[in-house]
Amino acid sequence: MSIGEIIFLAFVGATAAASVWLAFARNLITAAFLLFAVLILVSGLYVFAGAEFLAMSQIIIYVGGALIVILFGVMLTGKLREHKPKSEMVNLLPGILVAAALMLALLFAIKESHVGQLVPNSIPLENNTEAIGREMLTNYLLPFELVSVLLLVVLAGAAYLSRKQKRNQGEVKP
Amino acid sequence: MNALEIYLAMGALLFCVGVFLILTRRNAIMALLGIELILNASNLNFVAFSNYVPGAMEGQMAALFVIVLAAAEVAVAFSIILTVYQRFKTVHLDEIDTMKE
Repeated sequence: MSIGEIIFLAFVGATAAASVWLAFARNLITAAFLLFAVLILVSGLYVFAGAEFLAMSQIIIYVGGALIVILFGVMLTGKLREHKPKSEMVNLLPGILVAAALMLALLFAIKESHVGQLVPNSIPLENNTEAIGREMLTNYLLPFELVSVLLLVVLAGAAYLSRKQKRNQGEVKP
Repeated sequence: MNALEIYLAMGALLFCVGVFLILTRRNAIMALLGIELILNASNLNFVAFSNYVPGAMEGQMAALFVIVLAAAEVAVAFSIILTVYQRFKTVHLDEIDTMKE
């Protein structure tokens, strides 16, 4: 077992531990920080798969964007002056049964598909960022433009939805 | 058990934890965390398979677009949660039941 494999297994073990802890965390802040840990560890797993640009994009967009928005959500909707931000679990036994059954089905599919016989890529010929840039502007130009339109629509929609409402009998117009 | 199977098993674990979070939590923010975990699991599968097909960038491109869409979806979901909080003064999903009989 080379040192690279040991570090890879350490990343895998840490991600598994963080996600299982996140499943049973009752405090919202604990859950948000465990999601932070899972996102960074998954970004490390991307590096092991040869996707360095994607790993950096994951940290920038997910950790630096989506997680901050989630923390804002906890801060603004958690009523933090009265009590700790907690979230109880309901339907624990059916939830565990469904998740365990789903896990077993997925593991069975992984085993039965015999993907263990595939061979990993050798060291790629060109820089990963260059390859993604080239693909984005030639083969994936249409999704690129569509995503920019989508982001404009999301910006307008989110800004409109979270505008300050006038206090008229407590009614909120969507 | 080579590295590809470990990647897929890790993706399956993240997916199941995300489904478990959505099923068992009544706070809207925790359901959002579950959705993020599910999207990360699918991204992990994409990236793992892109490593095993020679010269193909489809897996990484798909994962990149999924990351962008997940960020957009978190923004919209957060604005919806804020609107619901302004109306109902809570984000506990059991107390938002005015559409029931």
